[in-house]
Amino acid sequence: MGGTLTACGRLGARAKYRGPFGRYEATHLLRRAAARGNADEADNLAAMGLERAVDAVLDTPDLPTEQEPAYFDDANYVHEWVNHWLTTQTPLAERLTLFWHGHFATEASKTGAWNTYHKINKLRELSLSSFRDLLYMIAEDPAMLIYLDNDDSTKEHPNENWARELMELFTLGEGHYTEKDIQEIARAFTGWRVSYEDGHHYFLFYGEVHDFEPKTILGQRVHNTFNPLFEGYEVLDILLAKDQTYRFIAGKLLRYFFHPEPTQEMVNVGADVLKGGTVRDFLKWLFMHPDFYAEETRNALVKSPLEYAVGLLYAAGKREVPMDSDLSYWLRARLDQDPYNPPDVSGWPLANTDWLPDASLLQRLKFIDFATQPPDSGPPPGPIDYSVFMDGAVNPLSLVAPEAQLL
Amino acid sequence: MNRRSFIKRSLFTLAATGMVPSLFSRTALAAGGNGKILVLYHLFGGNDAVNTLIPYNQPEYAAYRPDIAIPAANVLDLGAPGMTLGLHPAMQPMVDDLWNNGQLALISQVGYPNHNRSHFVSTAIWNTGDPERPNKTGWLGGFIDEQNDPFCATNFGSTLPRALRGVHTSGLSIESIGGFGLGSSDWEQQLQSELQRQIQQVRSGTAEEVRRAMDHMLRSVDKVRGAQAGEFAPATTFPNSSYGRRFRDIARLIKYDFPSQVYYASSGGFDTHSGQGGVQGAQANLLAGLSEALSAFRQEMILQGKWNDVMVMVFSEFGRRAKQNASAGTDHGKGGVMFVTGGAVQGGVYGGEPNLAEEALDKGDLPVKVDFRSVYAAGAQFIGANPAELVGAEFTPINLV
Repeated sequence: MGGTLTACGRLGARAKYRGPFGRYEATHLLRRAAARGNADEADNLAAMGLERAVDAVLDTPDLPTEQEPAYFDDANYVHEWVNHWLTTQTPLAERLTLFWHGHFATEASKTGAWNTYHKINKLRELSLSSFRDLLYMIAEDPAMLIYLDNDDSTKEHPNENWARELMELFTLGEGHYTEKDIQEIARAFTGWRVSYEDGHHYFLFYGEVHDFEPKTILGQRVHNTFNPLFEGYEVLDILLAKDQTYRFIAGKLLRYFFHPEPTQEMVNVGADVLKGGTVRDFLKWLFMHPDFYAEETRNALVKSPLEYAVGLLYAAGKREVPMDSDLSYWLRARLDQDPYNPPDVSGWPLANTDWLPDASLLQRLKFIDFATQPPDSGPPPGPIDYSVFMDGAVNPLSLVAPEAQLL
Repeated sequence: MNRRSFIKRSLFTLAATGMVPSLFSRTALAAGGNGKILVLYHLFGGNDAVNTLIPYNQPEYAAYRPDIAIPAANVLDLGAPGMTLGLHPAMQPMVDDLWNNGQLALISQVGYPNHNRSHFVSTAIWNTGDPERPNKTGWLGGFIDEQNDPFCATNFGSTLPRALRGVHTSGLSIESIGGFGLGSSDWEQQLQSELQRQIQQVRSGTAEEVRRAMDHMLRSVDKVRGAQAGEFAPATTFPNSSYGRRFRDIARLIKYDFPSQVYYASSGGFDTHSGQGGVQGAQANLLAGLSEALSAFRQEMILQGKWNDVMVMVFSEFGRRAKQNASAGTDHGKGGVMFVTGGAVQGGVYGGEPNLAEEALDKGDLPVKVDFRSVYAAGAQFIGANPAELVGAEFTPINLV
């Protein structure tokens, strides 16, 4: 781990970075924000100055045109995401979408690939919005309703899967609620189901299986006889009113975008920013914070396999990987990050060491050859430039250095 | 060849070439190993114990589970004295090969106090052996630290479980034996030489963590090469399932005297909140896969002459509710069931027949009667480790061998 970040205690967590902002700092910002880039892009950001550069990386996400399911199988969905990440003008949205997809995890093997694909697109659209918007969306999301079995929940036998993970993984974190709260929330969400029309699943409230009795959740009474559907929204509002929810989410965001061990003060201030504003506000605060540019912050995070793959392909000049290549096989079977099938409902690990077992590292080295090979046919790749991918690269052999694994 | 002679041979080879890394000399000094092997297999998701080790004679059983109860006629009755208990019909191979040979111990209602129903918290507790303070190291971390040898414990899979993390040393993690190594092409050889050069240079911070991991990985590749080079044509056919592949790889490393005394693997799919199935279906498929693989593993170990030196422990992070839910599934519960087998294991039901009467349940769950740490303690004792140091002196090893 990097050293303790004592600077923030002295400077105050709301302080702004006032140091130099040249290619060196812009490279760090770009690597963290986007997990891909090159020297020209870093220079452009540096020329803008800190605040305009941060606004630029936080631009409104480019949304891909949704493809009809017939066009895709599972592997192509993965492939399409990588190609989008390689070409989009707003690559931060992709790294952030991967975060939200890991946070609100669903597995295509249970939900069907289309539902998870659609969920990822909605997460991308809302990725910089308020946490409230994201939580409301996910509660009604067909992939989530299917994945955590709320679609099967009835007043006679409420299914507790969604209720439990809603608090443990999505809002409060473990230890901030009781088993009784889980049971009551499960009752409040009875009737939240999916319907199937024209080949797609849609959210539907089915009152016949809803439990109309009053519930008590975290000490608050929930009983809406006028519109029982709203009991679910009231539960979300109770969770959204808790400071703990924002501490939990801010802590995760900081471990993903900042440092494996953020200080409690950073978490608390970040939670305030997130509660009072949007994810964009939060990231702008972080990316302008002096500690973000401290030496202990640089190269402090291990890239996930998807970040590693995208970053390396981009650095090797690849802007579109042909659909008939082995890319999705590499990601799904060898590098062990299948974007459509996170390992379980807790998503991918945020701890650096979890990405470092022997088997994973070995496959990352083997991937270098795949990523840096010129294509058999078609136009040659663009310029090769490893400078944003890793500090200190001189040629493809440098990619075996530990620094290649870092953000 | 046992572990000790493996170490001697390695030392001899290394001494002959004039390179004795300190790792090996320390290992030789610390070699407290007794040649026995412990295999841990985690069924992730919370296996439903009630439909695995079934108290099928109690009227509550069918009443609680109208859609998923196994009809009495299909249950594989164990004939256990004083009990009416049977196994799920998908577990026929386990009954035929393990139970009927007196080598299957079934630990009923196993768990820990104040059960946590979170998959992740509960898994952490099973892996650290500490429900109060799920600390950063694993319950076998002390053993691995003491041996000071990462090869004394091997995980199959790409995420190293916390069970095998020590303070100074962690176990080895490989996805499969066949694919574990860099190829022989010029390019891959260049990568390997450059990597060897790069990892000589100590870094700081996260880069140093990665450097150490790469160093660990290179040594692991080297070590697994022996098992890759040798032929492995087991007389038994291992099923072509995740269970079958894992147990086949474990058998292969054992055959080539790999120095691990602990093997760890896991399979998911047990979180059956909906559509759990009964005689057939989701849980049945999982139990059948496990059962067939265990049976093949036993056969292979017998042929290798190692069956008496092996103990397999299969666990899940919790059991499920006594009653089914509306989705023909079950929600997270408490007491689970463990399987322990091996040539030296005394078969039988440990922990008694679960009582499904409403008043005997713990808020709708099977209560916990056996602490999992007393089972772990038996495993620790089997491999010559000190159970008191690994799981605490208050957990007396249950008498499994």
